[in-house]
Amino acid sequence: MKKLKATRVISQIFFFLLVAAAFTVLTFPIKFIDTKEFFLTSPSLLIFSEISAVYLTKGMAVLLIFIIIAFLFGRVFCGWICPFGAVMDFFVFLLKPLRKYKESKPDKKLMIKYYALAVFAVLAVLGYQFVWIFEPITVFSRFFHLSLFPFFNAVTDKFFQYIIMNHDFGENIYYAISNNIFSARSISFKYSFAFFVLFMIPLLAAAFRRRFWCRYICPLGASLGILSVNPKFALRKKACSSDCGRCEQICRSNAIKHDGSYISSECVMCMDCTILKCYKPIENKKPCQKEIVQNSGLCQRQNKGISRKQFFLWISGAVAAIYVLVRKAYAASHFSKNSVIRPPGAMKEKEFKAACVRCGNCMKACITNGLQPVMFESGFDGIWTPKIDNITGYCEYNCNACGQVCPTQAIKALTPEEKLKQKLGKADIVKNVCVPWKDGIECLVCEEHCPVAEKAIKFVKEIINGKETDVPIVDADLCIGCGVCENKCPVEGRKRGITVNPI
Amino acid sequence: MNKKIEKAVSKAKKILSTELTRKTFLKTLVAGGAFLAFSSNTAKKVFAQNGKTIDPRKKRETPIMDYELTAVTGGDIEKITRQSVDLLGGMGKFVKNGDTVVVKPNMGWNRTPEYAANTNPAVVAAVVKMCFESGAKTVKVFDNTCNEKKLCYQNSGIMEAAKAAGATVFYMDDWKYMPARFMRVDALMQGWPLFRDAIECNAFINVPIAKTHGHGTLTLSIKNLMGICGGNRGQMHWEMDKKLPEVYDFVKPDLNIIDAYRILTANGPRGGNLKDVAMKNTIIASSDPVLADSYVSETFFNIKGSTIAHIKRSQEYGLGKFYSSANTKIKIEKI
Repeated sequence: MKKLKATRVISQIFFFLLVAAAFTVLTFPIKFIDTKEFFLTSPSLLIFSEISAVYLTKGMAVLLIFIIIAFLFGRVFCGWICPFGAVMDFFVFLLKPLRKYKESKPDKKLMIKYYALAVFAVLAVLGYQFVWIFEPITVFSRFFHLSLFPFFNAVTDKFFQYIIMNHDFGENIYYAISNNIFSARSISFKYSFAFFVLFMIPLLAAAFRRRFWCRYICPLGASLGILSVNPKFALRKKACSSDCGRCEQICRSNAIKHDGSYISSECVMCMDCTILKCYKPIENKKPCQKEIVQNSGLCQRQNKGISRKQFFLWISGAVAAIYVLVRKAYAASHFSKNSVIRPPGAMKEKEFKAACVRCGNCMKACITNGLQPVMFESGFDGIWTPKIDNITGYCEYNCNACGQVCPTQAIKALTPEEKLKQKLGKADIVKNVCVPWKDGIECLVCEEHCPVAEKAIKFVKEIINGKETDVPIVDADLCIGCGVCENKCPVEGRKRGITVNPI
Repeated sequence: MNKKIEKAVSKAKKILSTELTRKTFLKTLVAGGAFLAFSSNTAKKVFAQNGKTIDPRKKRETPIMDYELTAVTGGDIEKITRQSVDLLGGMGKFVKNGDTVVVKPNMGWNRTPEYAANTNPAVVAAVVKMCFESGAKTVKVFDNTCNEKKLCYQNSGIMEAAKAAGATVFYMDDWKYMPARFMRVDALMQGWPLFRDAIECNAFINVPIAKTHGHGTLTLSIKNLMGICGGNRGQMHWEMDKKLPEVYDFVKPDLNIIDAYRILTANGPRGGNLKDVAMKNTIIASSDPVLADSYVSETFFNIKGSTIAHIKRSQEYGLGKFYSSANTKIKIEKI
């Protein structure tokens, strides 16, 4: 059945190219493909972010499709669709000539990912969402948006800069690329190298064990594995008398046991074993056939009544649900101050950190390159959440690209009218840096850039150094904290004459 | 093919399996270091800005025109723009066959045309069309925007209108600026990065909009040339009145066409309030910036040109003469 395997490879390539293309064209203005949808494929990501921030999105409906697929066919997503899995498989394919290892016997380490998932679930109930660290789609998108794309952008810019300035050639090609793919400026992000390393670790691990990540760590794989304990359609083994063990060796996720039976929650349906002729491809399987019960021991359907284990599971689930609701009520009654300047339409600080999956969509879509990942400025649970850095960019008055691309609605998609009234922070003048206040030189660049029609920055006459000068003051009621004043302030360096503080 | 791969693999394995002695270690260290040093050095050389500077634009002789200044009022924007230039003697006086022409509108702000923060797109389109009719080979339209380039180009409507008229519209990328070499040694703008394409052209047509400006009082044709400057433009505001005439003299536009179809009377240059916008339905054309600016400021804003610092400084610099109804050859028309 080489055809089935080939179909799987084609599907992987197709979905990888689709995702890569969508990620590449994710710049302002938001184009026909919206990368949001890719993140809705992951149950662990969406459910945990919504539990930890206590809210519900429309994306749950899309998620249902993938849950049904997992019920019917098992972890098809991992083997056929997941772009990160495709990259790993390709990497393994490249290293094939150098690889020389034997698959170990079915190992108990396979359970690690389920324990990790349980830990993430407990943290989510407590209000902390950390699945983003290992969630493959976000790892992939973080690397793509914040590390690979800026690198590609910079290299292309440098190359064409050299060609155009020295040989007067290639201008049209460059503008065709930059106008359609790049943001208006060469974008760069903090911690780019960290994202690269975090992407490379699982990739290199795949060279030692095929699908290392999917076997031992991946929370998405674990959540799909739970759903596909006993899928409706599955591979089925024909009678096998020989003890060749080839099926065991060929399996990339170590799902096939020595006796030829396989663990369906580990199988990524890659169809490699169908080449061997002892495995028949997808077949409608009657539930709880004898052989499967004997072989996998995973089918629970014969149990009648509630066991003690189930009883405790139900009780702990109910307690967790009550706790989440209490936490929600507590958070609603308490005001929390933002630690950094958040994008327009962001949730309240605590919920924002829980709902944000750090995919980097908003940072890539930001037209001014103002959205940057934070490290510890907003606490240990806020690592790599976006903030507006008014030195690298600012919030453009009538732009709401970040809200349009956020997969978990941690940043709301605002209407244009709502966006204009969003208060992000408040500008304050630093009188010992501001040129008119300090030296009495006329400047007023901040006033000319202020986007508010009535001008939140006004200038008044003041005696500075014995000379009457126009100096700027901020009207706190009108100021929306967009930060264009800080960004355009002519004072060089990170300390500007006017600075926006979070509210 | 397979054999070749096998050979390469076995070679790689051999290299990996060789024992690491002090000699081989030092050898690789030296070789690697030399390679890195060499490659980074060449990369630096290849990608260096190669220290090129840019000289003032060589302008053609100013042609003899029928009038010094024309002002045409009317409802149809394209018609009045055409008429104002035709009364001067036609676009053919400034644009010759096969020319590369730069049309520099003001599209610095992320605002739609009705807010009068940017030049009217219909005016820009009309000017571009006229240039092509006079035999221009390419017409370039660009501006160094204050807000984000993409938004300004789109929301001002100029990109669409100019492209439809056949112009090449592109963003002013950071690396296309070159340090300017002024003839006057004491110039305040000495070494300031200016946009290459704005200087290297056969004809330069300046198409500003008439509006107020917090610091410069009014922004008209002389102030509009700030849009070809790079660097830290905020710092140009320090002693701006001395710097603007220098830039204007460096570029020497052939023609100024001031868009006073809609003017912004307060809260400029960015505006944002429709109450501040006034309809004047007029296009002013002149090749003398001081004359054009002082005419517009007196007729539409009731400010004497000589009281605006940068216009006064330009007159002293020798860029032109002030408007006075007695000794200016002026043509005012209503369609």
